[in-house]
Amino acid sequence: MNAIETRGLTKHYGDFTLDDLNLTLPSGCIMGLVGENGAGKTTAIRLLLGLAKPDGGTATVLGQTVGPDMRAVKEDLGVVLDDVGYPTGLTAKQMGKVLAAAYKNWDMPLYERYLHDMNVPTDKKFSALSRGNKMKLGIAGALSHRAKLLILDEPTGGLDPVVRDEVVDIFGQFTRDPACSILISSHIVSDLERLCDYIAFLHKGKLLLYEEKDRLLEEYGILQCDRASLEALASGAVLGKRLTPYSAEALVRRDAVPAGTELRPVTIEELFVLLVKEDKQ
Amino acid sequence: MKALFLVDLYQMWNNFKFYGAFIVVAIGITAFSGPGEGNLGVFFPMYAVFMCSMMSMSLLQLDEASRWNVCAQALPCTRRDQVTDKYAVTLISFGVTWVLFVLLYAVLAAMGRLAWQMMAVQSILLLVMGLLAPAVSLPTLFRWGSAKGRVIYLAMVILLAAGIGGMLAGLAELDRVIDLPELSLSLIAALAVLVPIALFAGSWALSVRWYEKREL
Repeated sequence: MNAIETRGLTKHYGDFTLDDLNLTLPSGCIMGLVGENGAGKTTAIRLLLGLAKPDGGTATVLGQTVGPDMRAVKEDLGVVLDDVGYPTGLTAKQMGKVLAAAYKNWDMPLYERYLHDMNVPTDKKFSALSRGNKMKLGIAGALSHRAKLLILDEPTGGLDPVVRDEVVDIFGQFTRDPACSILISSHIVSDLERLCDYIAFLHKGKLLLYEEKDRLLEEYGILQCDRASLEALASGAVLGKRLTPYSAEALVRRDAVPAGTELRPVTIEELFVLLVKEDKQ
Repeated sequence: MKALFLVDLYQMWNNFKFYGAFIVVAIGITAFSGPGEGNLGVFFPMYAVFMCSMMSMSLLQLDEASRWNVCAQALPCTRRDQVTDKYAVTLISFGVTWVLFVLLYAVLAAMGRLAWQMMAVQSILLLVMGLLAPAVSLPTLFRWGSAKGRVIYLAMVILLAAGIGGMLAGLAELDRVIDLPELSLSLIAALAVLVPIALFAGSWALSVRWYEKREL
C-alpha cells in the first residue's frame, strides 16, 4: 500500500494554483517536498490533511481518500505544521495529557523521553518557548503515538544545526520500520538530501521533478565549461545553468551529453537552485 | 473530543479564573440588593450569565490566535467534534451560572424577599439570554472566523434588536385595531423556554454545516 497518493490534485487560491499534483509515496519511504516560499508545499500538505478542499483530483492517505471523517487514519498520522499550532497557554506536560486523551496508542514514557532528550522545558507555557523548542515539542507530539505516517511541514526550520542533526536522525530511525513513512517539506535541502528516498520539486504550484533521490543523482550531473562549449550542447541536455563572463556551470542530463564529458556529481540543492533559476530565465 | 475539552479546561483555568470570582461577587450583590430591587439586582445576574455563555466565543478566539483550531484537525477528531466541544463548553459554563442564580432566587423567594412568580420570570429571562447570545454568535464565528464573525455577530444583534422592537411596536398597534387573542402566562413561559432551546440546537447544526465547509 502507498502511504500517500495524489492524482491530478489541484487547488486555486486567487492568483496561485497548485496544478495537477501527482505524487506517490510508497510505505516505508521518505519523500522530501522541496520548493521556494509560495511554491505550494503547504497547500499540498493542507489538502492531504483535509484542511482545504481540492478543486480537482483526489488524494489518498494510508489507503483512505481524504474526506471529512478521517478519524481512523489520523490515529496513524503524526503531523507537525509549520507553526506547530499548540495552544499558547499550555505547557508541554499539559499538552502530553491532551494528546494522551486524543490518541489510543499514546505512549507517555516515550513522549517524556523525547522531551528529555531534546531538552524541551516541560513547565513553560508554549507561548514562552523558543521557535526551536516549539518545533521540538511538536515533533515529540507527532512521534509518541506510534504513527505510521509523519507529515511534516518545515519541521527543521528554526532549529540549530546540532538539534537539526538529532531530529533528522530521529526521523531516520522512525522509517527503520518498513510500515512507517514520512512526507517532509523543507527549505533546508541538505537535510532532505540526507534523509529522503524520493524528492519532489515544486515550483510556482507545479511539480517540476519527482524522482527517487538516487536516480536523480545518477541521471544528472554538473558540467563546468566555457560558454561556447555549453552552447554546443543539445538543447534538451541542459536543465539549468549559471553563467559568468568567462565560464559556465550547467545542470545536464548525463545521457544527453557526449560520452567522455567530465561531469561532477550534483547535489540536490544545486539541482533545485539551477532548475528554479532556469525557469525564471 | 475529550482532548479538545481538556484544552478548553486548561485555557479557561489560565485565562478566565476571574469569571469565578465575578460570579461570587455577582451572587453576593444580588443577594444583598435583591433581584427585584433596583438595577444592580438585575444587572449582575444578567452580566454574569452573558459573560459565561459567551465563554466559548473567547475560547474560539484563543484557538484561532494559536492556530490550535487547525492543529486539532490533525488529531483523530472531526470538525463536528470541534463544534460540539464549544457548544458543550457553552452549556456547562452557562448552565452552572444559571443554576447558581436560580438557586439564589429560590432562597430569596423562600425567605419572602422575592415573589415566586418573579423568580420564574427572572430565571426564564436569564435562560433566554444565556442561550440566545451564543446561538447567534457561534455560527458566525465558525463560518467566518473570530475577527470577521464578531463584526457580523454585532451587526446581527443590532438588526435583531431593531426587528424585535419594530415587531413589538407593530403588535401593540395591531392590538389597538383588532383584538389579538390573549396568550396564557404558562404558554408564554413555555415558549420562552422552548424557543431558545430549539434555536440553540439549530445553531449547533448550522455551525457544524458551516464549519465543515470552511477552509482552515
